[in-house]
Amino acid sequence: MLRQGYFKGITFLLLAFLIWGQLGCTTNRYRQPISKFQVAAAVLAASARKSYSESNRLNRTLEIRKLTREGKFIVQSDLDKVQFFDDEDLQARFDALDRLTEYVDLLVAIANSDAPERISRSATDLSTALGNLAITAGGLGNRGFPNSKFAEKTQAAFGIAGVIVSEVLKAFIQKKIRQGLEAAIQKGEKPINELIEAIGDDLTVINRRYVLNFEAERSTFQLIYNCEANKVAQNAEIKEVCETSTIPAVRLSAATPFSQQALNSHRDQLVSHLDALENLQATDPVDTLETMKRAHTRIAALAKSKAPADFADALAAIEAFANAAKRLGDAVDKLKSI
Amino acid sequence: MPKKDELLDSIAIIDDGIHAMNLRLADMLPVKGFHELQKERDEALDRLDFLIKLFAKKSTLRFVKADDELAVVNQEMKKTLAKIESIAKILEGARRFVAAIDTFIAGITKVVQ
Repeated sequence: MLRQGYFKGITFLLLAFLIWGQLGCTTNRYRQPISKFQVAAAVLAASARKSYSESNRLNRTLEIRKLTREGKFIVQSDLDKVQFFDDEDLQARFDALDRLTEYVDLLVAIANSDAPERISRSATDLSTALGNLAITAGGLGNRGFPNSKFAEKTQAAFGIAGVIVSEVLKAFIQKKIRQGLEAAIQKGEKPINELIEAIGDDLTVINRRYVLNFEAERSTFQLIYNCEANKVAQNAEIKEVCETSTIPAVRLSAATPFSQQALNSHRDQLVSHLDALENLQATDPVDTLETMKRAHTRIAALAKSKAPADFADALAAIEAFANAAKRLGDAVDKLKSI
Repeated sequence: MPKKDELLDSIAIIDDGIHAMNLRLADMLPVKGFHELQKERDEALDRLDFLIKLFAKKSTLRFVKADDELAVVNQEMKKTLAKIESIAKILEGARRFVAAIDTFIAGITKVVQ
């Protein structure tokens, strides 16, 4: 009797210890931050992909527009000089973006794995099956089967053992998953940050190049407008500059009389161009990539520490990243219309 | 050949210079010096494009390196998932095996009785 109570007490303590251990081992704390990070990273990867794909097309279009305005011939070498990425360069970038997506998807797969529950269930089922087998096998050697006492004892023994084994296995698997996840986050920190920096440098350079092109176009549209307006103002110095402009349309227009319709048309062109320039400035990826770097660093900090403050910090950083990624995505989508 | 940072610095300096020229052109009426400034700006853009192409080539190596490093991390994660799945499969296999034996013995028991 005393031994039985002692045994039950030990079993209860062991179970309590295991359940307590599991709470510290679970990957639950990573699920929400990593899932949110996955969504934002997917938006960023898609934006980066679009930016790269659009880069050559946009530069080529802008160069052709410039050559057309200046009434120049178009030859391939003019277009080649503004095609910054060849096929090999683009492929390397797309591969790295694929790898980034795979990395985040794997983190999510590990964090959301239901393996501990499945394995725990399987262990319980196995234990039940073993219990049944013992009863069946016991019956084979005992003609008086079913021996109810034997069956009860056997089932009770396998029942307790089953619970212990399934809980031990669950705790073990949860620990394995958590360790795998934390190791991946910590090992991924350096390459992820390097990749973010490389994407940031790339997109900053190409984005600023678009802006310079747009600014150059803007000064041309302003010149066209001012030359038309000068037909009323009649400033001799401006007239001379307009008549000798490198832009044929401006030179030819200088010889024609003032037209309010032409002036309005030049104004509309300038206004829509300034709107496009403003949108282009919104595709600057620096802020978004900085927020991504910060968000991943916070997840890495979460993997190193158990403080609740780190969890809140990680969530806030990921939220900021998600918002920035969405803004960037919206702006990059508009590049297509240029 | 300049290092990555020097290249980026050079690009940023030329970029700032062209931006300043663009602002000056947008701010001035087409008076004397306008064409000259335009020409100077276009030449600077050509120099910038050359440097950007150089930078893009060098930057490709950074992507290849980050890709390789991440591939190792991803491989380890795949191994972790595979290991866990194999435990689940072993347990499920063992349960089925025991259940099959149980059914077999139960059949024999009926025959014996």
